[in-house]
Amino acid sequence: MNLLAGFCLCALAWVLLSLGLPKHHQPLFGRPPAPRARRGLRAAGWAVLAASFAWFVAGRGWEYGPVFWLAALMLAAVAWVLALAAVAR
Amino acid sequence: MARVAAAPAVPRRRQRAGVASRVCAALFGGYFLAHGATAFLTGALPFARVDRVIAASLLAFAVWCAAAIYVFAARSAWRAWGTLLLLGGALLAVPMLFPGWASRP
Amino acid sequence: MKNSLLQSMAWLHTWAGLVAGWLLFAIFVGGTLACFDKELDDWMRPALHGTQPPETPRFDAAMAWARERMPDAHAWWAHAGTARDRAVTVHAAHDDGTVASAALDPNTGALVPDTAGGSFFFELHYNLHAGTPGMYVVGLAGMLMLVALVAGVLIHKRIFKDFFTFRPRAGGQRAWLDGHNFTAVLALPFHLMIAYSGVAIFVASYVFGGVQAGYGGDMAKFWEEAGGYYEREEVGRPLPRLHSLDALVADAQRRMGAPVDWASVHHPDDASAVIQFGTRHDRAVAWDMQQVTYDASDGRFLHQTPPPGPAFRTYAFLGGLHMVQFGGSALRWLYFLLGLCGCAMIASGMQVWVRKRAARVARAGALSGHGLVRALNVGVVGGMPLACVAMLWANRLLPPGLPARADAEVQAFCAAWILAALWGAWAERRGHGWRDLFATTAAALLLLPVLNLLTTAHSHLPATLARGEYALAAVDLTALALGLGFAALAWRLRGRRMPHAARAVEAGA
Repeated sequence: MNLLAGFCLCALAWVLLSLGLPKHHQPLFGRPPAPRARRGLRAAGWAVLAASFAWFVAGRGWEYGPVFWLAALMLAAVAWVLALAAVAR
Repeated sequence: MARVAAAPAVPRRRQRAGVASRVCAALFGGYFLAHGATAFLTGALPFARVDRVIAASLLAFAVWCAAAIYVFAARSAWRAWGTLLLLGGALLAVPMLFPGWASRP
Repeated sequence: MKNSLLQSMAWLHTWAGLVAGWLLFAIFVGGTLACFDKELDDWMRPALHGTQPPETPRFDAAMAWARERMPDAHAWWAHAGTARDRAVTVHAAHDDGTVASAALDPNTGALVPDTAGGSFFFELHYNLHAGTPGMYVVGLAGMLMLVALVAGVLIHKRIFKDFFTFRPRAGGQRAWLDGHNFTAVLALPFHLMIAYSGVAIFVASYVFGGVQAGYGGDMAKFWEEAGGYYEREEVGRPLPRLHSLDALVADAQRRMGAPVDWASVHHPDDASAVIQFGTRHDRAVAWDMQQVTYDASDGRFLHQTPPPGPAFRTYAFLGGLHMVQFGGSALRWLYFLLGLCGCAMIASGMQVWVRKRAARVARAGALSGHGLVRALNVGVVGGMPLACVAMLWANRLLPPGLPARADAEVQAFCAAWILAALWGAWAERRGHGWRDLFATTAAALLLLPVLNLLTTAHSHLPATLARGEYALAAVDLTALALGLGFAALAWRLRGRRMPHAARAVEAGA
């Protein structure tokens, strides 16, 4: 459960960060993000990224935590890119 | 993408020889530099002897990789060989000239 | 050489990648499967399914087998039966390099039909089953991978803008390049770590400048200081009797503060023989390399390795990161998936190379450099997965009593790969090599659980799920999942009659 929740946090971070880029915001929302939204999405994305790191370290300690976090982070990115490719038309 | 000037006409054989030279420089010259760097670091690092040897040895791969990248970025194969052999030789010379330094406990 | 850094790094990335590509694919497939090498070992020994290994490991039966098989061995060693791999595996090695192995029931000590197991994929991964020369080839491939990764990062100008970009519908070269980029960039920390730690594990075989400068080349002295391992000279008198190993396990566990995972007897026919015990690597990232040593004739305690220094711990940490024996099965699954990304990165990279030169490849005949690349692509990337499944099929089909059963499984793997490669290369001239191999691999994977059902009584999916042996069930389920994946790949290629390159030429590309 720990791992799934952490994975979802990582995925959320990538979702937010990618939506800050016009080329990914456009296909989903029909228009590029407004400048304020861009900044907000990016800030939120980095914040959730930091939170995901904290989640794994809190759950598994400083030795295992970062390893699990990086692995989950990388796979969450892959999963989101595949989802984006499937959704974008 | 930035506009790139047209390459000066170079005979095919000379070009192939240049590439072959760089490949050899990356493989052998690069290994020589890594070897010299490892020997030098075995003296230079501020740890106990066994820790110096292990740390220096583990870093050798990064040195070899960086050397290979440099070889293909260098302006000419001659330059690449020269840099690797000189730098590697200089680094290797220090522990060879001062063996007590590198093998101190 | 080229006019800009970009061009020279692009050249370097392309050629380092191409030269090492097929090797790296094989190494990556072997390594990805080896994440679950113990689980595969266990799956491939159905005789032990449904049993539990004992709480305290037993080794005496294993050493008795070793004594009978090779009394004058240089060393005997055995691994305890664990939850991940129930059998006690025992090996005896002669000075001339010959090794004999067997698998025993962890409770009764009886021999069970042996298998090449998941360990086959592990050894394939680190030395291509070619001993020391193979290890050096793998090391060189690892260095080429590091160079290709660094060069690849240097040439990827839109690395952040294109971070999330994957346009499979764009088709052709664009899609393959996107695929190569995202599997490479998103998992870049993993690829860099795996390549670096992989070569670092064998640092003692690749790097000599340190030991030369620090110890004057005295490797033995270096090992003594690094690991504190115990050795004693042979005395030339025969060993009067071998003390029971099982009687020493409790003391060994107490001294190590960790469960015993393996035991060994060194020069067992000499009075100087020693019994050693070691532990697992699942309690920390860094390998736990400690050992305790006892006299082999009277069992008295001789030596325990001191705690490792910081540099040796770093080495053990790098090795531990690579071999992922910690973190339970969850982390092994994550590494498995990241390994699949690596396989996809390498395979898609080779495809980019072929497609970029599509016209030239099509014009070139089968007996040319381009023809060789095309044949190797389909032979290695299409053929190896099929060979791996073929070995699992052989494991279930070969009679249990077959002598040298493990060797027969390996022969099945090799034969399957060669045949698949030849078939694929031949069929690709008509444009359907990839489709044929992927479809066959899909069928073999999807039918594996069915084969399991037909050839075993307690090891098939309904039985293992009912008993709660989820690691065994996971092999069948993963086969099904991967089978669907290969089927999807084959489906995408249906209806192809001409090699894409030839079509490109016809279309005037």
